[in-house]
Amino acid sequence: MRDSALRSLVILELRRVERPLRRTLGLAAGAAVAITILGLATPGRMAFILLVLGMTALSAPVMGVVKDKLDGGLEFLVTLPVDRSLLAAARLGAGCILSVAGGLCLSAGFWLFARQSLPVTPSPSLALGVFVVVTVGAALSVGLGIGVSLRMQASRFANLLFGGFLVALLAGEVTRRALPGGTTMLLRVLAEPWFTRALAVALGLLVATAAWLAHWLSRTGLERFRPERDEPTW
Amino acid sequence: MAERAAVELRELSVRYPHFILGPLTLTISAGERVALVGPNGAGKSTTLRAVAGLVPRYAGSATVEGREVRDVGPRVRARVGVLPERLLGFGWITVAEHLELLASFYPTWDPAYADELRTRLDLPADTKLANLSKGMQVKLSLVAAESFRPPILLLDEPTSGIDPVMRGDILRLISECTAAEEGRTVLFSSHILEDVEEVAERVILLRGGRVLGDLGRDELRAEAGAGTLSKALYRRLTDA
Repeated sequence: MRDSALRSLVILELRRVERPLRRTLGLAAGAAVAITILGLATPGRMAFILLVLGMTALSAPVMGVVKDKLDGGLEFLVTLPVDRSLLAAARLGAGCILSVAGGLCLSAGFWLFARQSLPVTPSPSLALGVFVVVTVGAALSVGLGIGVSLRMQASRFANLLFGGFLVALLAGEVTRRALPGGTTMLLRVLAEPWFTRALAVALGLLVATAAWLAHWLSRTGLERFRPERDEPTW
Repeated sequence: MAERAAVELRELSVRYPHFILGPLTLTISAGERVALVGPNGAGKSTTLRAVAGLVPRYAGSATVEGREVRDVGPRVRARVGVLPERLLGFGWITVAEHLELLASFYPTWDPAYADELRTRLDLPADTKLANLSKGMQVKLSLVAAESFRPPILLLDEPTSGIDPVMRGDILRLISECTAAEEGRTVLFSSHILEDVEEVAERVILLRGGRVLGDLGRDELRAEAGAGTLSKALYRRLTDA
């Protein structure tokens, strides 16, 4: 019963954001094809598209959490006879799966951006590192979205959009202008092989933190899962 | 021999920023059909939510079949079927998918029975939850609450805002569900006094989070005299 409940929850989570995600990816793919056919494709423009697309795709699961809270979907989940740890596990698992597409787009965009902007060829593992960090980060963001208030989720989404906008703007600008010395230096550091190793260590720490957060979430965090109006004062 | 209690509340109290329920002390025996009656804001829904384990913190004690609700956690909901004030679910899934989803969470879910109830209540399998009318939503909630044959049914305003035909269907189904198997307990809230008269054998009057009265059908009949039970209930609520 526990297995079938977990499977149902994960499928539900995947379906919850599958439609907006598919729509976003379809729109962006259409734009990319149009740009290519019209002969406007340059590495800078492609990087721009991929970065914006990646950020949008990663925001879909977060928006799904917000929408669920508004529509009463979350209220429904807490009425089911399952441990809240199972709900948290399903959300985190589905968040990981859903973040793959966005992570791929972002890392490919970053790779394109770095390749044309750097004076040296970046290490291929850099793109992989970016992909893993972005995917895990987004999954955590969705998982933690269960336990925080609607206002916090909205501000997180706004930050995500703002961050995506800034990255995209930078990518677009860099293709037209010469890089300032500081940026060149930063990108050179990012491309160094030792940076990848440091990234791996950071990732290990991130996973450990994620495990601890998931544990904490399953014990206490989901108390805040309910709509605000149902919060008693003791 | 004392009757087995299906639901027992001892000094139950739930505090919200603008409302305090209780302290309530009630015992509902297995097999009873009890109505919680009172005006809006009387505490009917909060009482049902506390019994269903949907109130995170409460003072006092709330037990279902002898087990403290806060100790058993969400497992209590495998023993109680809940019909909430409004349909809870995802608007983008269909009626059939909603029932299929619920089936994976309840060990005693009977898919054939669920399908039978859905067909009997004319619920379209392929319609999305977001497109269901208010009456259809109540019917679906009732199918969801009944399909795992829980020993205790908690129904929150099951006929509120429903047209008379659908209301009749729903009340008939509630009566049949409880008549078919002995020992099934129904605790329902309503402010439609005619429904209370039709289904309940005991009435608990609530107002401002407190119990105003706890009356059996016979007591109500005696009080009503030549008038209807509804009028007697109305008098009790307005005189207090």
